[in-house]
Amino acid sequence: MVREYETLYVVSPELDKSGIDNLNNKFKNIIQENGGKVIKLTRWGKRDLAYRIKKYTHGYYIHLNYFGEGRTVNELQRNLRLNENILRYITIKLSDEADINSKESQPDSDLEVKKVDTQSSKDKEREIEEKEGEIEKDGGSK
Amino acid sequence: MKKKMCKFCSDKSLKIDFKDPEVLRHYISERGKIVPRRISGNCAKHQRRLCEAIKRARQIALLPYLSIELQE
Ligand SMILES: [Zn+2]
Repeated sequence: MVREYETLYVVSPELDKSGIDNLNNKFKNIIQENGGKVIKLTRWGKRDLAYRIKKYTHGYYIHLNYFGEGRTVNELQRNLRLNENILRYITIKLSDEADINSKESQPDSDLEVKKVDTQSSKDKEREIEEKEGEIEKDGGSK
Repeated sequence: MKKKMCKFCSDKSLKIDFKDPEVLRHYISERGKIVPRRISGNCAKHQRRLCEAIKRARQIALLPYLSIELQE
């Protein structure tokens, strides 16, 4: 049974670009070789960690969207777990049943953080990191 | 004291997603605790999704477990 999944993982800041690329390709291959299909890999770039992991305060966030079976996810998770350069990972099931041909594979991309050109209409897309500074508490203080 | 409406019911474009910590951040207190429904005004369904998303975001270090880091 094929399902759609997403996995977000955090790579050690000590890896350089080619090291990260190698890791990403490795994980994509694992998906491909275990009955899955990569829909999209998105590099979020280097980000602050909300808490220190090992000695690190930053990490590279990578997002994978893919189709897969149980064994696809198991194998990917196993490799993420065993890899010392992976600081954290999480996998979410996006659908209970999916047609592997319903989405095409897209080229890898970088999440653009700074340019939010079409402001309000792109409500479906995340606008991460646009708001900085004041964090207003909803109904908190009054 | 006005009764608060569930923000996610009234604004359909506002999505609850663990990958979007900026939305979730509004619903955790200075101490990093999840703001209860009676204060946030969220409905039970959205509060449940919010809790789930916050837990996921914490797991992947997008949000803190304790918010010492949130205060400058
Ligand atoms: Zn609601």
